[in-house]
Amino acid sequence: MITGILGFMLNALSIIVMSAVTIIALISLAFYCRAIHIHRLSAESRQTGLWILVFSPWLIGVLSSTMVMLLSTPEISNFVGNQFVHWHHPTQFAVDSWHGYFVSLILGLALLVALRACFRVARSSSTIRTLSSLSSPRPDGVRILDTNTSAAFTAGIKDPGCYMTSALLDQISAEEYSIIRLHEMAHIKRNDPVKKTLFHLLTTFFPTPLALSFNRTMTTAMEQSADAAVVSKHHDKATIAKTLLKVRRLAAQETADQFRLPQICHYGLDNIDQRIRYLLADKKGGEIPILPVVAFIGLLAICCALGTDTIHHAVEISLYHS
Amino acid sequence: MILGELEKLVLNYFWTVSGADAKQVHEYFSRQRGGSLNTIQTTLDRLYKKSLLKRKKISHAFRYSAANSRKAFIGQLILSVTQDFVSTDEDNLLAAFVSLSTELDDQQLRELEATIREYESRTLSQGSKQ
Repeated sequence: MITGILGFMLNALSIIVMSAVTIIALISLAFYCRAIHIHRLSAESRQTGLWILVFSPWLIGVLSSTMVMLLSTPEISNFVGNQFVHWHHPTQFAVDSWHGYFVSLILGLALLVALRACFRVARSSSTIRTLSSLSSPRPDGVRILDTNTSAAFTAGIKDPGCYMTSALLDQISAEEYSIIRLHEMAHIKRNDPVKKTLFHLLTTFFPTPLALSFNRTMTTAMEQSADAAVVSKHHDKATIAKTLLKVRRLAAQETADQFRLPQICHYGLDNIDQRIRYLLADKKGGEIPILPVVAFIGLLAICCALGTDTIHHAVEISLYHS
Repeated sequence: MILGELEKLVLNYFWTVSGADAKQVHEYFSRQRGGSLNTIQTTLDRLYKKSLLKRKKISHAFRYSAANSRKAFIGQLILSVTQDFVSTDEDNLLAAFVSLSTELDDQQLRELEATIREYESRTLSQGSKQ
């Protein structure tokens, strides 16, 4: 039995975990029932919405845990006259109880996910460092890679860089080069590689199909925002769209003819269609209603706090009877 | 792919020569940065195991050469990053200008071109009205 502050913290953690798992299940259910229509929002709002979706389980967990634990302390409970929310043993945590097993299981899984993510980040970072050492930087910040593959991308967490291959450079005009550079620089300015890493980490707690869908939607929204940054400097949307299509054609041709990797065809994130249509559209979609969303998160936190005691009793009664 | 500093240097060396054994590589690098023959042999072995070098036994020593050209190696690296990108649906370190997917067929690409042309003509007619 762990008592005192540590016991208090572990009880608070078990409420956070219970609430987060409940909210993740609710969000997943809402998506499977098609109750959330995030695609109707503008690119910026879609990103905000996705961040709210992946952060909300943990935010609601912290809020509900704070409510329950504060109202369970005798001083506050006596003062407020709390009758609805309480935790019987706020400063006592039994490791060999269902709380202990539940918290250990979730923390173990979280550690596994974090280690896996760190390994992937380290592996990708090493590849990117090697690419960086083999590149030739230009005065405008673009790093040129001498290869026969046509590609342009932004990569790196600590020191993100804009890479373009010599094969692509040979096949594009000065205007197209400028568009691609502006697009990649927008990714760097917006810290997209770091954001994508963090976002990916948070989505790993969701069911895989939903996590993939979240990541795909986030990538598309980030690309659309980078395209919008180019529009603000270049203005001619049709030329930007044509450049996208041209680079897409070059990359597709090489992928099919040179590398012959079918897995790319099957799993590849293909957002060119959405990007071009969004770029040329007059209406970019709605904005996220921030106030109702914040109110809903608060309501869910209160529901979680109220439900904690019920779930707690339900589990303990079922365990006691079995 | 994780490559150490010396591995990168040795690989770069092999892109400038047709082939060399451990002693020749050691001789080249001892002038530049020192280091023992054993370190060079270990590095060559590691690069061979990573399929970046190929080797052939001549007499009692291995003669190494680059498995791929510099251009092909860079292409492989880009592919390995983008492969991560597609196998996990997103590679979070990378934000590609366009994905390498070939999911869109020619018909869809032509439709997109038509959409762009339509947009251009619409913009033109709006401009002429004004």
